[in-house]
Amino acid sequence: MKAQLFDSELKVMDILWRVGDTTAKELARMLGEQVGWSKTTTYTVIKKCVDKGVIERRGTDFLCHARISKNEVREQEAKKFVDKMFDGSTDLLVASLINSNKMSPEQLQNLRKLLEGLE
Amino acid sequence: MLEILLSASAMIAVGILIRFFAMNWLPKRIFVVIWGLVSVRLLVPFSFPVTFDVWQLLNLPALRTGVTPGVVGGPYVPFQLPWPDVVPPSAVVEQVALSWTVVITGVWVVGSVLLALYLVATHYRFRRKMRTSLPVEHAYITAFCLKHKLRRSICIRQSDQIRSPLTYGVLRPTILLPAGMDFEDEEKLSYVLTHELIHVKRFDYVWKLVFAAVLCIYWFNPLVWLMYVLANRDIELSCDEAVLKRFGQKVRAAYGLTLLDMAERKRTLSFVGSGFSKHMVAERIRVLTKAKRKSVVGAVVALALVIGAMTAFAASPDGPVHERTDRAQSHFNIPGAPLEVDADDSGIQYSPADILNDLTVRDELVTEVREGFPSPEADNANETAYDVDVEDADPASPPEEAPDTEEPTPPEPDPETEASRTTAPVSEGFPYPDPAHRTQTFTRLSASEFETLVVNANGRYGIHGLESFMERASWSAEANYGARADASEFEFYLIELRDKLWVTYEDAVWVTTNLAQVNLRGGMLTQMNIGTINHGPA
Repeated sequence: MKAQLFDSELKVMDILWRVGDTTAKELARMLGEQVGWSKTTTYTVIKKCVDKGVIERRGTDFLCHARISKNEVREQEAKKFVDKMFDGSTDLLVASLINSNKMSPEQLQNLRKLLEGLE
Repeated sequence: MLEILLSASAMIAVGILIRFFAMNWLPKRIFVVIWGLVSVRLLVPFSFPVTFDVWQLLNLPALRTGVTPGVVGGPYVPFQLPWPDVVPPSAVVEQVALSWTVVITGVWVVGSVLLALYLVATHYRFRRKMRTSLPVEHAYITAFCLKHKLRRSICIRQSDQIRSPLTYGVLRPTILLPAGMDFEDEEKLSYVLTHELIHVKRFDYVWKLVFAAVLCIYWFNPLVWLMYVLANRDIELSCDEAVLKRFGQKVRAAYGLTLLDMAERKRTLSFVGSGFSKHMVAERIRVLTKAKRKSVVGAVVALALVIGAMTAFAASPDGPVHERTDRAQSHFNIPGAPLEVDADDSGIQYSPADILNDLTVRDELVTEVREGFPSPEADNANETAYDVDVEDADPASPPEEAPDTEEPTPPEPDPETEASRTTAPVSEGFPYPDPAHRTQTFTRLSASEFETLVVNANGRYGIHGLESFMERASWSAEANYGARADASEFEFYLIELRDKLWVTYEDAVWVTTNLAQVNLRGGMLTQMNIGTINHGPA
């Protein structure tokens, strides 16, 4: 599952992740409300997702099923980001996040637990 | 046909020369106007073959003797099809000439169709891609939308498939921002959005389509290709200029950096979306650094030169060029598309170009403005120095008509206009600045003068007249620039006014009122009374 997803495709995936399997018609309605896409536009994006193998079509009413989880996409994107900006070293990323003061004490505590769990 | 080609080519050539030599001394808007004029000139004749028969049926048969409207094809040299069964054996030479015509026409049509298909396909793909854009939810963007309400609702969206901002759409204009743009950097965001907003207001998207259409039809003319490239650049340059006018020259460096930043991202995807493209940015930044005090005289001369080039080739119905094209055209006579009509053997020729030139608005408008505001020589009592330099420097203008020493011609008896007059009547003895208080060479347009002009121009000439007029008015604003702090604001309102007037008259009144207030604040008017309008320098 090495597919590179555009923001538009992620938007569709996001609904599938939150709501679960949804028909294309329902997706079109929801996205029409949320982001103002026309039905055709939504179908085009769904088609792109099917082509990329991240959505599976089920049944006759075009029930869409996500074939990739949000975590998978997150990990994939995070890895890409670390590779690009931190030469693939996760510690540099963490150091950078801590240095930029964007972390609350609770978050640091969570991180510590996570690291202890790894060891 | 040849005539149109010649005059348009001459206009383009003159435009290019002016652009080359006087780029930094002229408002960039003038070039967009020049290219627009040329394009209209090139496009309009093409609608004639379609409408010409109707025209003929209505008007011209009366001029012709012995020809009933039903047989309009009569007086023309009938088009001889190059097929053997139609052409008599004696006409072999003619047949060869005509088959060449067919070949050339064929190549031309095929070329046009191919280019048009390519451009349409590219653009369609682009628009389809852009449809998957996502809305932007950010406080600054929402505030910007609320602050800049247009008649058409502007849509600001984002997409991760573009790298630099762009604008498209006519009825529902959309400003598209690249995803991952820093929405916290409000300064940069304001430059970018203002730039795109000006594109929307000026219908630059439509103009780009017009330029593309011209290119499709005249693809064989290298000058038209050059014009296409330059026109697209000048739209951007003129837009940059407007942004700087809006924010003031002090932001030049910051704006330049924004341009660079956007350019680093990537080039635009479509030939027609207005946006920041990489190869143009170098020029745009160079222009930013070189921006000089714009010359009013220069602008007038430039426009006069181009119009002169047009009229020299087109507006002389009995000139040598015309006669030459007559002969050239005898090869190109196609049934149903007569280019020349000899009415009654009197030698008077009516060509679409003649009819067109009769309708040339600009000269009339210049006269109109002068009639409305008597020239200094004509009106000693009021001793106005209205746009002295402009008057002197306009070689293409028609000779002065009998000076109107009375008060200027009131606007046409449009009921709406009359209504507005009752609230803001123009006083007897039109308000020129008191000579005793006059300090500047240029007498600036006062709000009331301006209003009269706008009403006249809009009522009489519609959009095109108004466009010409606005050019003139903005030169006056240029003259203001050095003198008054609020001049840039004044000019901004002018631009806004022009855009608004494309829609309704009420809007014009509204903006004009604003304009008057700006004038007042800028010290151009020390006093503005609704009944009697007095003014003079502060």
